[in-house]
Amino acid sequence: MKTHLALLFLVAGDFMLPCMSKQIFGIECPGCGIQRSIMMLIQGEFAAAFKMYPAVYPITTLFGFLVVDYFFRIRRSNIISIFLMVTSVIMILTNYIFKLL
Amino acid sequence: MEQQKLPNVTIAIILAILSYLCCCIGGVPGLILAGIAFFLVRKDENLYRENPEGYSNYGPLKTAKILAIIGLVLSIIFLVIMIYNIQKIGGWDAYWEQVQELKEQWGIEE
Repeated sequence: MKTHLALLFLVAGDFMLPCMSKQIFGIECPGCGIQRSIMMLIQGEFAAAFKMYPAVYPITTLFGFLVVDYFFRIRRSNIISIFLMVTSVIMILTNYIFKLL
Repeated sequence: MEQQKLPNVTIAIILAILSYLCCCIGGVPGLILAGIAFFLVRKDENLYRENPEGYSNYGPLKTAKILAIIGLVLSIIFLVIMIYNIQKIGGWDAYWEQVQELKEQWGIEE
């Protein structure tokens, strides 16, 4: 929960963290672009958010689902959780590999 | 017997995914997050072993464990890459100089 709040704070406060590794070494990391992508989501630019960081959709869906599942009992939540987790990770990693190539 | 949910699975999943997203700051935050996630998963595994029939979300727990392990591996890889690169540009001092320069450029926002 606390992590969730911190993330919200980050987004809400126009408080984007810069990427040290990228500036100094030019290395991109699997999370590069997610802050901008979330900002685009908030501003309603859904296609641009996907292009910036495709995995933002499975990740936000996963987190949203976990929160809802925490408070309400959802049927088949196990399968949905697993599916969202696997989708998220696969998208994070494949997107990153594509970026590197 | 009503089945409960293992308490730490949700937090572990969130931490594990977050650990993928902050690899670049040297791998250390990722390592901490993935480490905590892994530790939480282990705690829940012990709980589950004591009472296998009493918990409903063993599946997500196993998946969360895999997520946490991948997070740990990724973080370690990035940590090694970071250390290697710091050595390449001449050691910790040179790296710190660059960080200071960048901080000045951005007006030390935090």
